[in-house]
Amino acid sequence: MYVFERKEIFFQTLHPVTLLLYILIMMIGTILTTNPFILMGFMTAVVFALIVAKSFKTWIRSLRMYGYMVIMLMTINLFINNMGATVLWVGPVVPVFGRISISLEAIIFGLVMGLRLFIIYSLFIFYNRVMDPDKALSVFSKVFPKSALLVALTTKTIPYMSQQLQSASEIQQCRGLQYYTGNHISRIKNRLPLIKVLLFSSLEDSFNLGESMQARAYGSGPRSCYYPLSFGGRDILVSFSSTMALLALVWSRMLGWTEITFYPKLGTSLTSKQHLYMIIVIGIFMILPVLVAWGWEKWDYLKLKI
Amino acid sequence: MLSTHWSLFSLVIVSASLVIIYLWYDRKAGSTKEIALIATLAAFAGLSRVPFAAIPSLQPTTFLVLISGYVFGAGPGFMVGSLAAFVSNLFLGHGPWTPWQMMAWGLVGLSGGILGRWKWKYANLSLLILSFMWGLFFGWILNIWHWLTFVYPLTLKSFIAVQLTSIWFDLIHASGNVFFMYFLGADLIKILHRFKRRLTVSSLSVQELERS
Repeated sequence: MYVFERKEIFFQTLHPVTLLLYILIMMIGTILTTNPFILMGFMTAVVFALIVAKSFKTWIRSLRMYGYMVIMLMTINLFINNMGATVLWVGPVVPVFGRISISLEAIIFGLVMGLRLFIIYSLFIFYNRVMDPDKALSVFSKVFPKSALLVALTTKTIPYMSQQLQSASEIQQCRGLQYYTGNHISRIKNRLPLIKVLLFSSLEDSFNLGESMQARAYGSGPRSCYYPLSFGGRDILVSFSSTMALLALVWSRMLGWTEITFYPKLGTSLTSKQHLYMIIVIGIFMILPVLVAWGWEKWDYLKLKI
Repeated sequence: MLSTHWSLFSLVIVSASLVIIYLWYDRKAGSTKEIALIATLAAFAGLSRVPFAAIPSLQPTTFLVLISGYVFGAGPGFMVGSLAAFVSNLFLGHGPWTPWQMMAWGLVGLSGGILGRWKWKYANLSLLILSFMWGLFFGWILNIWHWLTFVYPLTLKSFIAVQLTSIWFDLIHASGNVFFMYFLGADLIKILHRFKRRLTVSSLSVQELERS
């Protein structure tokens, strides 16, 4: 039921702040970039990271779900836009949208946007795989102690409540309500009273919970913590390389190297030799943590040292 | 220039407002019972996304958040909505939609709270209308980021086109909300009011006690 599983993965052993920094910088980089070469660097980094995190299969499976979204956006871009100079096909006039025309620029734009969407979705699959919600919450609780408690309480209530829902529905079935036979409407109608039963009993439980929290002296002193989070050599390495990538990204953004012009005519995505070097530098700093993760798994010496 | 800065800007705005609201809630100390109640309502709303998953976007979450806000007020309503989004995504998977869902469901609770405070004669009718409107608004809010990030140019025309891609799901969501509100609304509001009365503490002065 829970998305997160604890496994022997390098990224899961990192400090949550480091991990967040790495993922956030890749995310911001993707949002701020339209240069296809930089985007391909990010894509490579994410795909290798997913392979090292042993969730390549999950990624492939979820691609089908996200494919719909990508295709939708690409189609919209294709039809909505008639600013491209290289027109390939001129279609009929549609009432609200005007004359539909497909240009080469719009196709390239759609492809680049599809790539960006893919990277962002893949990043989140990676995030869901490696970020331990417990650890993230313990960092979060330093800033928002009460809200963190709320999140923890809500999270613990969900599995408990789904058990209660199960047993309540079994009781109702024993009394003769049909949940799995009959037409759709009667099935849904039979399920509706369950919501009432569940709400009533769980709110009753919540009052008991509140009283027991008070009885255990909640809020009467400073917070205790379950386990300390260590910030070690591997964290320094990953944070360093993400920060360097961020600096390189900011620098190339200031030089105008992260974006290309699409309309009316496609701009060049590689302006000079320095631009190429910069892209390589960004790519290296994004892929370095993945390489370390791979080495950590294969090379015991490295595992011992960091 | 392209819309890349708009996309980041919108994300920053949404996350920053969420952070500010959570900071505000953190400083406003509630009793343990209130915390437990909000957590339970949020879990309830979040969990209710699951059993109806067979039909996409038919779920009672929006309706539950709306009535929680209606009964318990705007602040708790916002917390219930945003927590339900956040925590249910721990089970269903986080994505770029998480802050937007938190914001959208939070606003659903907030609007319910405003409606509840504003004691109007046609409360039931306005709840029905509001739940229908939120079915559409919810999808529109979630689409904003995709529009800002991946579509160019940012015109009304392209905005409508993006919204049209999800109009079917939004309509199912809206009519589902009305369905739940019509069949369950009055009963659940009664239950919530009962627990609200148990939460409310009213103090009597000593003289009044002695007199009675």
